[in-house]
Amino acid sequence: MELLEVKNLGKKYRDFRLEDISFTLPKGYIMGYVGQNGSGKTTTLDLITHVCKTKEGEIRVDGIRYEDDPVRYLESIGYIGEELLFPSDFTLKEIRAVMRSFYRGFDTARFDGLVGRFGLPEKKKVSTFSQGMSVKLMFATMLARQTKLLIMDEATNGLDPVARQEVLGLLQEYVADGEHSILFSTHILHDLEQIADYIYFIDDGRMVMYDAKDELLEGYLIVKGGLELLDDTLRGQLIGIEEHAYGFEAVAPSDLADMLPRGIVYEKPDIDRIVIHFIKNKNRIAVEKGAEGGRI
Amino acid sequence: MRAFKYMKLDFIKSKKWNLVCSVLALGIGVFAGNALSDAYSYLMGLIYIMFFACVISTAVFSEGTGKNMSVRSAFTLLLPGSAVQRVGGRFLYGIVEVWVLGICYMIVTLVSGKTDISGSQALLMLLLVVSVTVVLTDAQYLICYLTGSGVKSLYLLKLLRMILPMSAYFAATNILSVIEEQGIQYAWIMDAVAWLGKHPSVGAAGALLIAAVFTVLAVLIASAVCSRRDYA
Repeated sequence: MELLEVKNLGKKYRDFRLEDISFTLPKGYIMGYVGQNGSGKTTTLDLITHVCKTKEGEIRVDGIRYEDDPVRYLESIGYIGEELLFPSDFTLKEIRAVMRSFYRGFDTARFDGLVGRFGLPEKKKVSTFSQGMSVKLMFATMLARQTKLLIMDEATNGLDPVARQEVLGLLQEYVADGEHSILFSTHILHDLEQIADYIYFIDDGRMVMYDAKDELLEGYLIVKGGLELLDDTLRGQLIGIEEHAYGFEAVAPSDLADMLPRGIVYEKPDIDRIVIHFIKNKNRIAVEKGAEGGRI
Repeated sequence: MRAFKYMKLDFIKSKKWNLVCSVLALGIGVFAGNALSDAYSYLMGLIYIMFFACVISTAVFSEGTGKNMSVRSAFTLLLPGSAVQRVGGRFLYGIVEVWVLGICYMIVTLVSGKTDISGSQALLMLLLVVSVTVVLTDAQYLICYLTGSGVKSLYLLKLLRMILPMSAYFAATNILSVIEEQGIQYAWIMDAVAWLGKHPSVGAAGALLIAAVFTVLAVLIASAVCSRRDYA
């Protein structure tokens, strides 16, 4: 059974629409959820955590919908965001008391062990914690519970490289037993290259691409060459062409490699470059349709 | 019951604010001036404490304002529980707040010997006034839930929290002053008070029942709103 199932999820705001978002996440895997600012990433995560509500679509975590058993549904989910969610004047004592009260199976000894491991101060208010300490605190509360799905919303933004590596290590530990999964929304695509198994790319409230990371990296190439080689046929086959004074760069399907004209070079892509070129491609289509007077 | 966990959470979140304001309110209400020697003065002091309780109990709605309101309220929303449990816990917090302050006022005034009224008279006044305050607090909470995160300004939020209890407080004290000065013209009120004095159990039970029914209705309405609204 899939740990997370999202089917035809949608939500309408005055000036934004999330439409027909569908994906599944099996146990033991990490999915990167990527997109530009305002693309709908946080909206999707807020809908999964039921902080936002919608009547469009269905979400199941470990087979359960929120409507069937809200307590079990929310107990299964751990959430770590960019900002610390605890009331600012809480200390670890209050956090421990609240976690113990609300979560069945909250392991106080494990929490204390993690707090010690992360070096978090017992008596200070959490508002005084640095970004790195805040993320580690949220990890400690999450790992001491019996969660199944971890949702991370830009949680590694603002962390220094050392702290980020520590966090990535924790994420890999979390899924190592094959019973837990992570849905990880981030701008820092380099992090996803290291740990993600799947990539879901959303733009303007809709899916652009959804595939296994390895398939994506194997399925596309970065191609470069001189502008004189960029004929109409080639233009039609490339994605997100960037033209410069000295040449062009674009993404192309891997099976195009043998058919590329002489003078064009190709190399293995990274997730960053694939996403950037896909966004460029979407913007180009939007501009062209606008110029033709068509609807985007 | 999970609602009690949410109630406990609200008390943890507001404990410093509660302690300071409650001690201050009791201090002013009990020990200020020559208050409380007769029933009228005792009642005025109790109304003052209840006004305070109503205002203090809405402080938990200021979990954040404007841009960060959704982030701060997400802490409570991510805790495992349904909308009814969450909202029920909030209402329980408000009701317990009001009752605790009322009972503390009664105990302190009786023990300190600052009042001449009997324990049963004090209890009857407590039950009646607290029941009315519970209804006011429920209404205030309902306003807070219905306006929700639509109110971005902290100042406007504070104003909304004060309007109902302030209006009720000034209305109650003015009515009591007018009755005291022009008692004969409000004979029907004096008759009602006399009836209550002869049937304290019925009067108190009726007030408590009305407060309980109002609370249940308010919780159901607020829960229905929260189950449909984002960040609520």
